[in-house]
Amino acid sequence: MAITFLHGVVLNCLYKINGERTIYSIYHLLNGKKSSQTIQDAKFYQISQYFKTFPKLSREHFDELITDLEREHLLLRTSQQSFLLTEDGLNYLKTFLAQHAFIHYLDGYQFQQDEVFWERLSLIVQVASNLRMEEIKYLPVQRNKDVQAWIKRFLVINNIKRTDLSKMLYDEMVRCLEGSQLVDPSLLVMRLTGFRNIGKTKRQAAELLGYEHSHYHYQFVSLLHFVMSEIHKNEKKYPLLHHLLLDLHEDVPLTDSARLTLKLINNGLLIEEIAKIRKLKLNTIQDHIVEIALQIQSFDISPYVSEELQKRIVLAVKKITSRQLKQIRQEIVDASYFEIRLVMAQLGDNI
Amino acid sequence: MSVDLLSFLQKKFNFSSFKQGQQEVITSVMNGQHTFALLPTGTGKSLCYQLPGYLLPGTVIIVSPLLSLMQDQVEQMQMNGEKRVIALNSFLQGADRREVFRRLDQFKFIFVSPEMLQLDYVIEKLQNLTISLFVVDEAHCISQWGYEFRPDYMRLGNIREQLGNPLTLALTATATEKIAEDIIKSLHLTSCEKYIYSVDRPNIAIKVEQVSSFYDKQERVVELVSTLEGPGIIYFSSKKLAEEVAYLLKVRGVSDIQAYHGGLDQESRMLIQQQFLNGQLDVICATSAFGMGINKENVRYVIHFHMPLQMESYLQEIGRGGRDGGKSIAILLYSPGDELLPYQLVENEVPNSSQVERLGYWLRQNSNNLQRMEEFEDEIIALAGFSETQWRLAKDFFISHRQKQLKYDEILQLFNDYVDQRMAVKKNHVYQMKKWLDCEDCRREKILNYFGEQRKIEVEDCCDLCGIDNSSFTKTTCKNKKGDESFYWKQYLSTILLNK
Ligand SMILES: [Zn+2]
Repeated sequence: MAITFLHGVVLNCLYKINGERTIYSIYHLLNGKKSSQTIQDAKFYQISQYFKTFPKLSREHFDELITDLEREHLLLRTSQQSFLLTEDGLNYLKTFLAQHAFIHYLDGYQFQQDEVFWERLSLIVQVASNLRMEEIKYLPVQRNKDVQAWIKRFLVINNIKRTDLSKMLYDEMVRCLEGSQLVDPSLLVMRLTGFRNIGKTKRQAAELLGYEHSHYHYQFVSLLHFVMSEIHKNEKKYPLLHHLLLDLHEDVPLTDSARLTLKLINNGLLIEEIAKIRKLKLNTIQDHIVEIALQIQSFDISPYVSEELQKRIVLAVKKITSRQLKQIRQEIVDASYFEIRLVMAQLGDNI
Repeated sequence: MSVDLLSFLQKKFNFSSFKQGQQEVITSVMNGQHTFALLPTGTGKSLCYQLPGYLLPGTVIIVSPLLSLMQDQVEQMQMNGEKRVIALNSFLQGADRREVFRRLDQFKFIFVSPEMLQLDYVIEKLQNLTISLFVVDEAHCISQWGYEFRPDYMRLGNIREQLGNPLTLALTATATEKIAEDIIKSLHLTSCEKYIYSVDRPNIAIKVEQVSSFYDKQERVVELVSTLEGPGIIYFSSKKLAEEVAYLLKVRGVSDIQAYHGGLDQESRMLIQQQFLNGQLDVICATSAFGMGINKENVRYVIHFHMPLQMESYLQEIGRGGRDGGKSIAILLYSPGDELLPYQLVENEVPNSSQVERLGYWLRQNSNNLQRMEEFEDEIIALAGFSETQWRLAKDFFISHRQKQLKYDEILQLFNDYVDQRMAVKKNHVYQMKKWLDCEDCRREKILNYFGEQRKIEVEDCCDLCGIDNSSFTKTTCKNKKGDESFYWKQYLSTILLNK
């Protein structure tokens, strides 16, 4: 069993969580599970760039990855579901990160909607190409009805001449892709379909370019994130392409349930009242509040933790340089886990 | 009939002439006759309801058993510019569904799955329409003797009556005489015109090759693919083998080849189909999921790596060859013991006695939930250990018996009998297929006999037992290897977007 790129990703994540979370927190991260816990961990351990970057990963497959890493002596089991990197593991990871600089483009958390973006991009290219040749009989490469409807609306609203559309698309795509220093744009371009030119499947593209599947996948997704971020940052440079992103930007990515809790908080309700109204456990509402604090920098946590306690918790976190609640709790016995988590959420990456 | 069908065909569909049987079937429908039509695969069954649909006022309802096939047909029609077409099936959900039902009368062609027709409010909505034609596609699913029997098809006769006995067209590509009679009876068609065309496709040569082992079979496939004129399709019973053989062929230097099966994501499936249609791929290693929606005219060979589960599927699959009327060859590779696999597959399709027993246990515990059994899908599947096909078979059965308000032990008894009967029918189909493999005189004649026909014409390159001139099917063109395989992304973008 060869060590694949995905093995490297798992290794990197395990390194970051440092045995303080179970391996399955990584499984949920890669799958993009929308739970408060997963999102908080992603932020705390600075692995949010991997969020939802390998959706549809099965538990069996994930277990295999761990077994492989353990067999190769890159991981050492510390308890039932936690692992630490061995000396070999650390060395392997160092080389891995040095060799794959493109991982800098990857931002799974910010670009959770990358699949929709790709569906729109590939479909608009196909539509533009066929429009240019005045071909109306072709099967759309994307069958997602929402994406098809979106393209129709886009064309109607913008009312661009058919020859201009393909020219604009060409110019903007070249402008954008030329900026990619770390990933070869061929990776993405060969999967595009146009008039009488059918694009490659991801497997074909990986084979043609000689990449193992997950290595190809991560480069493709990284390039997609590069493109999305480039367009997002320079809307004016991409008068056409930035439309593809407009409604995909989630300002505050909250779970639906947390969003409702936030609404009730804004209406002036207390935690206990919200729990009662929503028939949920107090714990659950507290999880929501931690999630909200994590996402919204300006969220005021002082109704839930006194300013004085906040200061002491911050000091303790800095001193211990660990994310393990237990250790912090030992330091400040009068704080609840909820209060500690909340302060840590507010701190975010600023530790 | 005052309308000139031919000129309408040319104007609306851009075809220069009718294929065999189409004009007769369409004329019969236009004369207001209930019609049964058996048209062999590849002769354009769908034109038989599309063309009358445009000439008749009101709506055409098409009952179709397979969701994927239905989706393909709708997309094909949309691609050809028809906007007033819709599929009513379980994919249609929520707001979309409400919207569609609100303006149902604005659609000209409504495809509907048989399960949707079990719902009272769907029937009510359809009753409000002026139905000009009621089409039963894949009508052989109605018959218990058929390999694809669907219990929910049995109720179509009653549903027709609820809809006011609309003009009806029953279409199939495979039906023995017995099944044809069954179809007409089940649909309650008192007078019905029958148009039966031979299932024979004289331009397809039929060959069965014995090999002594699995290894030899693989080697033979490599040999065939490198010598036969393409494009070609190789059918497998398993995804895994389709992948493995595609890989083997690639390693052996066949470049334009790809595996296709239900395990691929939707985008990849779509791309592979289109690459094949577009001539970018020469060979497809496929499971039976491949080919239903696509119309590739120039397929020159179809190889079966495994024996199909019944003659009907075999005929349908080899029928994907030679649709342009040109010569095509079908080669089935058989090694001793191959028949064990289809028997095993059949057993995985039908619940076994211990599974039925466990289902019975669930029914006893949940006798008040009989009417909404599908809501407990996960629970039942886990308890009985059903495969996907086994569960579908059970679900279809229970849904179609819902209206009878039976007690759990009564319905369990019925289900027991049903399962035994399905198993017997399916095993018999495998047996018939094996018998055909072993036959010693003309294979084509035996196929015709199976469907109740006699052989009337002499066919050149008929079958391996009558003799085939292999040179008719060997590669003539030496494909020049593409020299430069490098990919330049800006060049490609410019090709597709600037046509330069
Ligand atoms: Zn013969």
